[in-house]
Amino acid sequence: MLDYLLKYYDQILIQFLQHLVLTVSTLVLALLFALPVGFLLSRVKWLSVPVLSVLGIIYAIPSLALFAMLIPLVGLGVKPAIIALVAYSQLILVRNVMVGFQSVDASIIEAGKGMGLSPAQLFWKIEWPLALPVILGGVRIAATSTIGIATIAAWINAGGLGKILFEGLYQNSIPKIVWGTVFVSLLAIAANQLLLWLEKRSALRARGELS
Amino acid sequence: MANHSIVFDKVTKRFPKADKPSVNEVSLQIEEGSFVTILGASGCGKTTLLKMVNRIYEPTSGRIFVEGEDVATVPVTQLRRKIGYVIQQVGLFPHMTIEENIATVPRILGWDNKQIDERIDELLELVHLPPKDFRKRYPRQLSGGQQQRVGLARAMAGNPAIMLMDEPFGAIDAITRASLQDELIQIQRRLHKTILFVTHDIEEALKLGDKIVIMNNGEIQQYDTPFHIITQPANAFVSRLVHSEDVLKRLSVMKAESVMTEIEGTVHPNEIRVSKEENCKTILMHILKSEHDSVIVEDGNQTPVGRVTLAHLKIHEALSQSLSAS
Repeated sequence: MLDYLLKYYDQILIQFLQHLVLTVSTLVLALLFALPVGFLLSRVKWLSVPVLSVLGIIYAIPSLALFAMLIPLVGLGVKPAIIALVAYSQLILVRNVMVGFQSVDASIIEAGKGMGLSPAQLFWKIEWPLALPVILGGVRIAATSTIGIATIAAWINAGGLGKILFEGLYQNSIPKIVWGTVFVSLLAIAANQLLLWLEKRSALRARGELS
Repeated sequence: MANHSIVFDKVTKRFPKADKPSVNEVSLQIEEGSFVTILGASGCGKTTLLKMVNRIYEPTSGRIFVEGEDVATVPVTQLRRKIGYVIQQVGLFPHMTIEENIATVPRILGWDNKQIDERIDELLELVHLPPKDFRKRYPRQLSGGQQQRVGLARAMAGNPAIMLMDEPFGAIDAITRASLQDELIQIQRRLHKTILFVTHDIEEALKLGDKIVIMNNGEIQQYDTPFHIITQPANAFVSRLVHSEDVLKRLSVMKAESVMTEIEGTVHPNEIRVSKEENCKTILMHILKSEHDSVIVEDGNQTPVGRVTLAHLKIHEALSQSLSAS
């Protein structure tokens, strides 16, 4: 078991890094979309039901089916993988961004407005730091679920730790399955812990408990 | 309009889907430097009226002038920066220290750091929170009363001439509320702010207001001094609201200086002393507990300037009663 790791550590490392890059780029692109949409939904309430319903439907599509659907459109590789992963993460991210901004006490906003803060000042000084814990909570859940689903992306040649897992399944190789599982789990746990730490820190700051 | 700080000109506010307007064709002039309370039951339009001044709500029709300028023509952030705003829920920024909260408006106005620093100390002292204990604290570490003191300090930070206060002491316990009221009166006397203060508490409206606006169904029922509201209610609504048959309430709106006479004879060393601003209800309480039938009235420098006796109170009470009957 350990022999396999010592022999192929370079390959596993490459797959680990591929997986990490896939996850990080997915989250960055997903947030570029989810932050403005979630903020908009927190302001325009009637939009939230249709938008979240559509995102819910996307979330319900089995990942293998979604990857397969994307092949004729964008081919194989990293591109369809990221498109699918971004689409999946939207439900969690948009919902948390929306809830984050909605959870800021209305009286705090009113006081800020009444003092003459401009919309931009109100956003950056007040709303953003107070909504951040809930947003980071969404990023955390989206990150772990993306790491999970990204293993399946190996099936469409996107690389990552899914590759070694699929190989293990096809070749009935226990070391590949075990090491693949171990490293995917490590990545997921590490991402979860890091984001959880950031989330807690931002929550303490939002409550004025960080000294 | 020169000495009118705030002017409402036939202001109406109708919210979407409401069958009748919240504020209906209200015209009102608030003198510069006066303390005006707006009194009414919930849903009478008092808060709506207040929040149209700093354009939290926009009137459906009519115009509002602040210091001679039509508020609709002033950029909204600029307008709000020169009007202090205090609300019942306080709305302190929980992620900022007390000093950061207070510094918000001065920072936006571009004051330099030293100036802001001095301003924070000055304001915290004004609201009786020692700066060295409170500057670095966070809002959650403060009691409700202390939070509203900070709210008041924060609202005054940019040195606005006008303060809008929406039931600021409504959620605060009775003892703290009374001392906050007294301090607010002192602050207003000292700094000559124009204060518009919404409340549903009659005692509070009478105690604080130089003048009171009484509202019902979106319309002003009476705009007058506490004394006239009690003694000459304009209509049945006002009279029901203030129960003018209540002797104590009538006494509570009479100030020592309006009742006192010159000091004749000697001042007894244990005669109770009160300030010129003291109301006659409190004076009556003092007299009832004292061995003398009178109290000495003194000015801000603790110099005796007059005396109020039980007989005076009786005469003035009878007078105000006959006024309200006529």
